Amino acid sequence: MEDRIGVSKVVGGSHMQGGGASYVPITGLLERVRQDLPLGEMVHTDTFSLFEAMSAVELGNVKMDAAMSGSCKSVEELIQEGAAPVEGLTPAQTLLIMERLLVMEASWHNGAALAQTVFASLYMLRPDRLRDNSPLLHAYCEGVKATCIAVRWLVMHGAVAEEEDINCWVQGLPIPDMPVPLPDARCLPLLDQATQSAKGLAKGATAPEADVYKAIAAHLEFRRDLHGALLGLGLKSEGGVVGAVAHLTSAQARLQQVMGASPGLQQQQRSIADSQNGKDASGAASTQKEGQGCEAKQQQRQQQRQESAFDAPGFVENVNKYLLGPAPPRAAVVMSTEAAYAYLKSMLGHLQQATDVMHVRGYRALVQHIERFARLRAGVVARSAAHYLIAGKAWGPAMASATALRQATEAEGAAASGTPNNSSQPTPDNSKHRDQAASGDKDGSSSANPAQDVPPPPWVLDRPIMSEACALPEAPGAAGPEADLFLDQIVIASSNWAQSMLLNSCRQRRRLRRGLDDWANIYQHALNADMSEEFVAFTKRAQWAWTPPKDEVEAMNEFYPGPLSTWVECQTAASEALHLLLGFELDLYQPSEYAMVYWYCSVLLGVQRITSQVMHSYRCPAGGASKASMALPAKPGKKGNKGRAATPPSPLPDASTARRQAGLIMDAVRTELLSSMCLGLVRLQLALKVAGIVPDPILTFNSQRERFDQRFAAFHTPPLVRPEPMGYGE
Amino acid sequence: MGAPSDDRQQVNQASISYRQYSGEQDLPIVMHLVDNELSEPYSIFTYRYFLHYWPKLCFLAFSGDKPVGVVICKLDRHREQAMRGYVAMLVVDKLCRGKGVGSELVRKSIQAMIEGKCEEVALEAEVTNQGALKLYQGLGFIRDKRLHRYYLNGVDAYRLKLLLPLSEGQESAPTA
Repeated sequence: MEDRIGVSKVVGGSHMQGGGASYVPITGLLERVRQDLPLGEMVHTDTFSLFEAMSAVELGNVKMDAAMSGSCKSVEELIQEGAAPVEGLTPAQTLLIMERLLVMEASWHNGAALAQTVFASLYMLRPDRLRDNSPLLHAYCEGVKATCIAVRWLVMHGAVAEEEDINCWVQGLPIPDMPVPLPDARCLPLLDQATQSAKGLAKGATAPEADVYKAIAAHLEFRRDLHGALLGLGLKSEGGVVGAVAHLTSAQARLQQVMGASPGLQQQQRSIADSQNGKDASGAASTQKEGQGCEAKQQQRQQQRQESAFDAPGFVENVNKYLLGPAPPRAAVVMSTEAAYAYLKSMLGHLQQATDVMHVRGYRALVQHIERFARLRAGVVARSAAHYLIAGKAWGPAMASATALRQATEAEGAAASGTPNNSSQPTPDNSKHRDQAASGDKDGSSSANPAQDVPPPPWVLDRPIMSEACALPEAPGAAGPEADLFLDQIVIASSNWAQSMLLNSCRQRRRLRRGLDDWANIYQHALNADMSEEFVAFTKRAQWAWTPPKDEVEAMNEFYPGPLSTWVECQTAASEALHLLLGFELDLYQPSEYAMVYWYCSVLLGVQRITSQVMHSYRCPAGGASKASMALPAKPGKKGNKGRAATPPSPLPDASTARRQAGLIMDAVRTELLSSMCLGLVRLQLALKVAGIVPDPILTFNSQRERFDQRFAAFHTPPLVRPEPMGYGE
Repeated sequence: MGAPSDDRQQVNQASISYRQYSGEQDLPIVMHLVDNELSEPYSIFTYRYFLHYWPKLCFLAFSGDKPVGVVICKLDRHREQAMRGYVAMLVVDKLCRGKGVGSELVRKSIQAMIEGKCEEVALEAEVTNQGALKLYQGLGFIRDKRLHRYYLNGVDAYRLKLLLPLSEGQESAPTA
């Protein structure tokens, strides 16, 4: 092929200049080359194989190139044409824009791109235009931007968000990309001031304008509370969480007020009333092919919703299409107003539940908290907050210390107001909330060195909580190097498990299965620790009720399960059972498979029951307390027992040991119950099969054995040895 | 090799013929069928990737001269372990649906994969695509996993898998 210099001679086209690059049309050249190639021959090099080429995008292809979705003017052109007026915006229009931004923000949380939602607003792209003429909207826009930054920070540091959950792409938008900016409190004084103005305007106006100003004030207060809550959560301290709880409670109340005055919801109610009165032509139902008719109506409703989402002043659907890049366009689905409010309400509730972690003490309570939260099926923002709060050092950057955040906030505030740092005063009405959120650390808030790490809260998944889980001493070396290594490994494995639990449910199930490799590895460490001399000596000193095996052969014998390997087996069985049960929620099983799935679940729950009972029998005192502290008081001496003096009553077990023992008994009882339920469901399924209601499928290419192997293959994969995998024959 | 026409001629199972992909001259038919029916965008490189390396795993269905269905597959070693077949695309013209054309195309492709020592077959399907799910489940596929918002239109997908019984040669072969 001719080199580039000769191309223009071959094609006879002229050069085009643009953006510093020279463009040469080569269509003619490609035509000539094509004529020389026989059918089936392709041009390729080592770096352009067909496999790599599959990720190529055809520029200009509407299905593949997001920037080809229709023409759009630049932001400046649109503003010049009056698409986003700043003078003469009525209060009703201001309220509508605020609400629409809230809906867009909810849509972003649920998978749509920021560029196609929040920043489809010209006011968000150029908020400074609003400063003089529309200060209320200006404050709100700054608040939305700050909250988006805070949410993005939380999501990226929460480590449970995947690309299908939320789109954190901000290239070309007025949000710094990397490094991920720390959330700050700069917008709070602005929001406070705007709230006071709105309330003042409400007092001076008459209905209905007064109601509109009250609704605007409610929006501003909601924004302030939401941002305050995110700042509090970001501190990852007891004080920060307490502050966040206060903000969340207030935000929930504000949201109710906002919903009560929502123009979007009122419009929706009017539409429903119109359609019920027969004025809506699209409400006619098709009697034939109802399934297709319903789907078409849903698509039509979605299309209408998409169009109305951009009806408010300043919103232009494709204003940022050039930022989407040469990639296949993902559908940007804007939620309905009703759905957005429902999402925000549930998000606030889920964030509240995430803050319940501050009452957690001990591994078992933490596991229950995580399992309970996971069952909520919360959105990515709440899940990120929940994981961020419990994640230990292994999961991301050092915590944002209260001192660093306060100093950064005060410095920014001073720079903005032009006053020295030490004279900046908090707004009187909200000083309590802000101080709680910004400096709520009980420990370390007075540190002069902002880089100094604040000790983690007691609920964080780290070495202290894991040592309590296994009744091991926290101090390194006390139970030997193998036990120390085991403790390090279970911190990692449990952290991975906690992260798995807070992913979206599809990923959660897959990650639980992949986590079995971790548990298999940990099991080997546990066996080594159980057999190590130092650990055995430790258990004797601490008077555990466990007889160590004489050698490795005995150690592998199920009648001599070591305490640490038993604990690992219990955790592994729990992960496997949860992995199977999640399949029901994700609708992965056909009715003909229910029996074998429930059967395997009953086996795994049985393993959990037995291992809990074994661990209970070992009576491992927390922190190495003595056996004497575990014994129940002796019965008084009977008549005729001459010469045998009554033994004095032994001291009661310490609180943490008693809690651990009680927890093990409860786990044994619970898993026995669940195992029985599963067996009952197995019998039910078999009865339905016999009755012909749930017949076996007709299999063309394989048999029930292969289907069994497929479902439970992960439990048979080496090096996983415990729980013992069950075969098809069993 | 033209595009499917609008004629409403009665289509029945007996009038459907099947053949393997024979070369680049069939590529326009394949692309036209897939582009018309599937929402996901595919570049020509994607088509060529499958059809150039695994032409024997692509089958076309015709009603007379009119192309009414196509299945495109591949077969290779998955993560250095099992030989895995993959059904990349399956399309049946709307007029011919519900007549077993899709099932027959998939059956032929699986048979060809078995001849290629395939151990398992996988594919993705939209969770809302009841027709496809029924088709594959009828052939013994199970829903192995769910992929959240897998498609560009935001819909979830199921990964369906069919584990094939090992042949005598595969059973006695030493493991890696």
